[in-house]
Amino acid sequence: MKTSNQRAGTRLRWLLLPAMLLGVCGVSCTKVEGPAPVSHAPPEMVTTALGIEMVRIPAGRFTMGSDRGEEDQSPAHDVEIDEFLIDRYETTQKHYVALMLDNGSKFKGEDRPAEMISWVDAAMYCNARSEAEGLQPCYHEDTTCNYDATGYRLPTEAEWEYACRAGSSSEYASGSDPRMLKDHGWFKENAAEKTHPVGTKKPNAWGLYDMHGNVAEWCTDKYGKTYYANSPARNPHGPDEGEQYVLRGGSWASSKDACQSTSRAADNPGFTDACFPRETIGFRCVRKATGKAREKPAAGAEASQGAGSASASPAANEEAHLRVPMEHTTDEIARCRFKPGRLPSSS
Amino acid sequence: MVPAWGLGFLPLLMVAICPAAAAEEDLSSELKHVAYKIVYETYQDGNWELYVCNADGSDTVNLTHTPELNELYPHASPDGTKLAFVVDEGEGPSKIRNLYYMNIDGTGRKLVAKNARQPCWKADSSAIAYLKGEFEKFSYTDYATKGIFIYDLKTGTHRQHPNRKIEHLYNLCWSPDGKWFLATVHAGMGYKHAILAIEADGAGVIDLGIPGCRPDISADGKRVAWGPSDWALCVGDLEFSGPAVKVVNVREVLTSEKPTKIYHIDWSPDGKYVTYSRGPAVKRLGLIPEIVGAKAEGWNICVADPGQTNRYVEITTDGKCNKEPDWVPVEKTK
Repeated sequence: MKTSNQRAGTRLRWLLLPAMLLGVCGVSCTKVEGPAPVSHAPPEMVTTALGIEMVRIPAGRFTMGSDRGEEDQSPAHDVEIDEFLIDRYETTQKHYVALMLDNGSKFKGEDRPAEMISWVDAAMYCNARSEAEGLQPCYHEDTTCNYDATGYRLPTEAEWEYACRAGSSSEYASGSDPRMLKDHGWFKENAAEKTHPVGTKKPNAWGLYDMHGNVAEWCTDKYGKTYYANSPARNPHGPDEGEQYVLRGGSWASSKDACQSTSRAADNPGFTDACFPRETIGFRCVRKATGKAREKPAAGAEASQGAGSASASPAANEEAHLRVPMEHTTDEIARCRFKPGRLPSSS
Repeated sequence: MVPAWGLGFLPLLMVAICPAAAAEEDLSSELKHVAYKIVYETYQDGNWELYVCNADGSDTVNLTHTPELNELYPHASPDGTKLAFVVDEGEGPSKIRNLYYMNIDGTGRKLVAKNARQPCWKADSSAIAYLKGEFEKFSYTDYATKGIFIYDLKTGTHRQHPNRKIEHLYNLCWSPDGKWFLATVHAGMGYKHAILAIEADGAGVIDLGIPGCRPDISADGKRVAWGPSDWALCVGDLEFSGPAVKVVNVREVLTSEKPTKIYHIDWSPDGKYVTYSRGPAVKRLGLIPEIVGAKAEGWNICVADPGQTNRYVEITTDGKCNKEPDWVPVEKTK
């Protein structure tokens, strides 16, 4: 999906990530009023059996919402989230078409995010992706979600905001200065009225791209304007009733404000014809974190494992070092029985 | 106690109390005298068949009787002698949607094209235009199409439309003068979603500027009907004058309250009526009921008067996924 130059840039960013995290924490810790996340360690990267990169988001606690934003963002309240995996990028057209066949996106490009996606389309993709990797689909035919299933689903609104903030408490994951947003997301002022290939702006502190802008992302929750007043403190799943489903992050067509970490939007889910989807809406998937992350080997062992030789060049050593968090975990390798982007045969 | 004048006053009372019921009663009576028939797809005993009935819903006949095959999307030739339709054949990876035509009585089935869908007829009934499937793998998606093709019944030959950029069309129809196709496009040809007029023998493409999908041109070529949403059906006047095609004088002829959807509008040959399908929206993952081949429990065929708003009558009542109705003209060869 990404060019080698992009990958090199990605690796460099991961090399710098601990320093970035320290920097973020150093700046923001004095300002944080709510609870900080439990873990500040750089999250582990996982590549799934279909070749899709995910980030293991650590369990933690954060302040969700804002008392300074729109009415539906308040009250700001503390929420605890269990560990989970989330796609590093918005679902691309390449990955969507590999499972769903039809490309209904307006702005064509295999590395661009899939858009014109209804909530139903997104949920069906989640199930198809689960089945393709031998996991238990989360969504039932009646659209209810089995949160205990091993497969893919859309993030809850709380998971989405937790992942977007990545430890920050500012309006954007990049800070409170909206001028910084142009480096982190595609929105109305810089997107030229279209989507852009995923991962072409800076990631947040947890390595997630395009959490602000490009396409607004479906969440699994129904939208409730006053839900925050009574939502559970741990792993909230949204209200039981509601016509519309939550959208987060804003899109290429959104204002800066609509791209804020706390900004909420909603739309009809799409139990309807192809006539009405929007080219501003896409999604990314999450799934339960199963099993423990692989122990990170010592630096010397990493170089030895990755490069195959202790005398490897500095570049090779860097490659090996960086490869560690990107490698398949054991459970992923076990499921990797077919090439990325291809469905397993029925036999 | 029954009054001396008996219960004969009840219909009159209903008319006085409920004008809608009266309008429906009037329309039902009116339709008994309409010579055209209506053909539609229906899911009977676990299988899609094509049924034909009178305009008032009477005298229903199964035209296909094929429990092993799924026939869908019937379109009658303008001369009333033939039906074009698609058949979903095979299962699993070998599943395919193929295009056929047959005599109006269900005999003489002939394969037109494999992996083809959405047929419509040339006004003189000499040719069928259709859309090729976008993928070799089966897809229910309505817009999963690529290219317009024209099949000549006399020679048995196919030709592709000269505009090779045509993709993602659905619900194709052909203007009576043979100069234009109308169709919905979704995420293709540079459009997000639009109803297009496409030159039948050229590269011209015009966005009609009307929201929604599934256009149908009246037999005189002067009006178009379509669905602007799940809950309404519209008609408008077509203006083919000059280089542009325009739709003017747009009006809603049918509206529906949620969760009842209305879809698949089709003009009667004389333009006095429209037929369409109507049924409940379903909140589920998977195919939405209005898609060809999707089960649509509770859906029925209706006939309406396009000169008024919401003057309609339901002509099927079993709710067995009755959809995609098409008027069958009076056979001109007899």
